[in-house]
Amino acid sequence: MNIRFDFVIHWLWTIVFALLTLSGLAMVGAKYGWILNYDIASADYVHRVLAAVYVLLTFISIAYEVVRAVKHEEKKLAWFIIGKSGYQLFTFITTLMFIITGAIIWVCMDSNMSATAFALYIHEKLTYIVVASVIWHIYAKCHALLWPKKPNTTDKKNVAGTK
Amino acid sequence: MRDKKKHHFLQLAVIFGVITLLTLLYAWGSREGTMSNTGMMGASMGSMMQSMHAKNITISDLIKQQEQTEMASGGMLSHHEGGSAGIKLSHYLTTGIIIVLLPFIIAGAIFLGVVWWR
Repeated sequence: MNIRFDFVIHWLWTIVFALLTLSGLAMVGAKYGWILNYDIASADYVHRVLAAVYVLLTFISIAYEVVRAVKHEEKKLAWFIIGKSGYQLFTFITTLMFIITGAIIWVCMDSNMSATAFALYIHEKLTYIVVASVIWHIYAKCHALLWPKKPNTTDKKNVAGTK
Repeated sequence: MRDKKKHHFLQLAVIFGVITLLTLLYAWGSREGTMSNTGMMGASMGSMMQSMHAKNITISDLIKQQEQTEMASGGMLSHHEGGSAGIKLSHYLTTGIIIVLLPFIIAGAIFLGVVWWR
């Protein structure tokens, strides 16, 4: 069984992002608190731990792309989360924004309320944009979720006949 | 016009759409006379913080360190003092990962930006 690196990273990253979205939305305010039964402390803890995993996965992905760039590998990785065009580029930019604003909130929470408020505002509004874009992404790529159909016998014969 | 490959997605989207609509109608119906939608309870954390702290900020406000707020210096610290060793360990570990990896992530992003679009 040939498991590709980009495929594994894609789904690890997806699971972590989904959990970060749920725990993050639970902390947004009273209107979404029901997601985790208003247990804001657990949401905060889960969000912080998963944020570190998210940063780690992003670092691994960027390091992988840097190595590929140094080796001049041009082959496009279809499942990879970052890339130079399309939704991969969108994910790359929004991920950087999430990480930088998240780090500002993390570090400045006790020392600079203006910076925290500014970063929190961007972090939250970006979430809505990215969640909407994920729905579009699933729609655009839903063919990838279909189980590969085994070629039936008549197809095999046709293929053999053409050879 | 209709793509057969998208059929399952559209089916799922319609079901979710109907559930969302019914939930919204129920929420709007039951809220009448109980609480105002525009109050503090209805606002998100980002919007609240924006109106309370980030309305008239300047660039310098974002950079300079402020004096420790009462909540940060006293309340928060004493609140976390009681935390278990596991929580403290995970706090140091996660903070360490983020602080250490952030410069490498930014550097890698700049490098890829230069390499991809040169």
